Amino acid sequence: MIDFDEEIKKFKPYTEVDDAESAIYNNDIPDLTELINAILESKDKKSKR
Amino acid sequence: MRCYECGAELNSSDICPKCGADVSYYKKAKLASIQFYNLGLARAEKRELTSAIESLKLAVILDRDNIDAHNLLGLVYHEVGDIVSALSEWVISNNIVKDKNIAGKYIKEVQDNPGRFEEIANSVKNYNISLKYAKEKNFDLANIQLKKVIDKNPKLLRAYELLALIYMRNKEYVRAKKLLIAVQKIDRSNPLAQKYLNEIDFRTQKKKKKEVREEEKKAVLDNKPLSGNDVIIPKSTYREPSNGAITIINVLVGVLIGAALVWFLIIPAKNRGNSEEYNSSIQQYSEKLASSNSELENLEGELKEVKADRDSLNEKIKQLSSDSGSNKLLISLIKSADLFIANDPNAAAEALIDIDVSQLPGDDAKKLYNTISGAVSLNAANSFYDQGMAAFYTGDFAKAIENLNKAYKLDKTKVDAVYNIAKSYVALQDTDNAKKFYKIITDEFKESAYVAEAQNFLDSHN
Repeated sequence: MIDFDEEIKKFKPYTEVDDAESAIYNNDIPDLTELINAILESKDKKSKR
Repeated sequence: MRCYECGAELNSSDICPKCGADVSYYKKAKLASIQFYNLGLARAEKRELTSAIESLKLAVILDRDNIDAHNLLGLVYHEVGDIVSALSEWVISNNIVKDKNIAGKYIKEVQDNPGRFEEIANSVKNYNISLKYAKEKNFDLANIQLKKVIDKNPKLLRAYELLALIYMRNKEYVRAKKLLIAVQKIDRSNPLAQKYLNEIDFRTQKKKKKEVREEEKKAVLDNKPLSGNDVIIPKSTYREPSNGAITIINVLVGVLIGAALVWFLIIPAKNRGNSEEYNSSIQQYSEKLASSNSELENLEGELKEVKADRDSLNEKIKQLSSDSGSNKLLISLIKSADLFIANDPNAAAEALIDIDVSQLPGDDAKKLYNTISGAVSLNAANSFYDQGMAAFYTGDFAKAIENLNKAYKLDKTKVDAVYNIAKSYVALQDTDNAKKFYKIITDEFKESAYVAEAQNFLDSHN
């Protein structure tokens, strides 16, 4: 059974053109390779201490 | 495949032949990204767009440099109406590789159709407004807005989904089903559309079963055997005498009497009524004609007066020099009014840009300026801003500056426009103008998020 009030909460607004610039800059998330490198580097730093 | 550290061409080994970096996980990530890209492509070809988006998102998470995945993801976003996400992917792709990248072509196509881009951008804004109405339970307003959104942007799938949900709430299942089927034509794997269609089928089957049960109940009642309370009425044995000749004579007499009635009573009365009606109509038309003639005379009189006013004004305008300051402003103001009347609000706003309202002669001119400005400036400012940003993203900084300047002149609160003008000048290496606009931010927008960056630029370029 569909509950309208629960369903409507799942609808999110679209990003508008005015906010496009921040959307593009915020899209700059690291990919898997960068993440793994970052993990390995922090592991190296800890082992050196 | 190239090494992520030194850029050297990799071989089958898990160690880079040039810098010795461990590239085992890097290779695996790249290969997995290609596999997800291929999966996304296969799904997109079958129009399973929601599933395609999921696969392509994974492809870019695994390898951000997978420009094919970015390009295809942008295309799929564009197909489901999410223009900002589409542009984001294409801009990112274009920044990774500029040469021979189809993303550049897609961005240019958007840039070459500013009118259509603006329409789509407005439809997105209006969808967000409709969503707000729906969450506030203003369903009528949401309904009206959503229909307009779908009309302007038939690919904005969330608009269909939201409108279908509202219809389902109002038990208008047929309308909801029509919208959801339209969604599935664009995106076969849309999970929300399938969920809602299943719900509609369930509800309509439930309704049919209820109707069948009620019919069965009625049939049972009709066929119920007699009980002690039932009363039996005996059938009557009276019959009419059946003689053929008498029947025919009776019919003929009836026809003759009817004809006589029509001839002597009904036709004369109808004729009298018709002539009375004709006379009444003639009188009414005469009265209307007299009144129209009188109105025509009044209008002719008014037209003469307006023409005289216009001629007098034209004469005054001719007498004055058209090059003098306040007359030039008046001419711009009249041009703006003409454009406003011709339903071209952006052009009307543009004509107002260089008018200094304090220099306009007379209160009437100022009042006219304020009336037009109030009606068109904000929307026109947003439109010029959108065009400016579209040009900014494609690297056409001169055009970006032109449009963003117009946006700022029409709406002096638009700090985003000022900021992006400054950035455009930085991109063009015009430090002096960049400083000028950064200074506007530090002087007039002290609370904005851009102040720190603006101040840094000014300090470092003193």
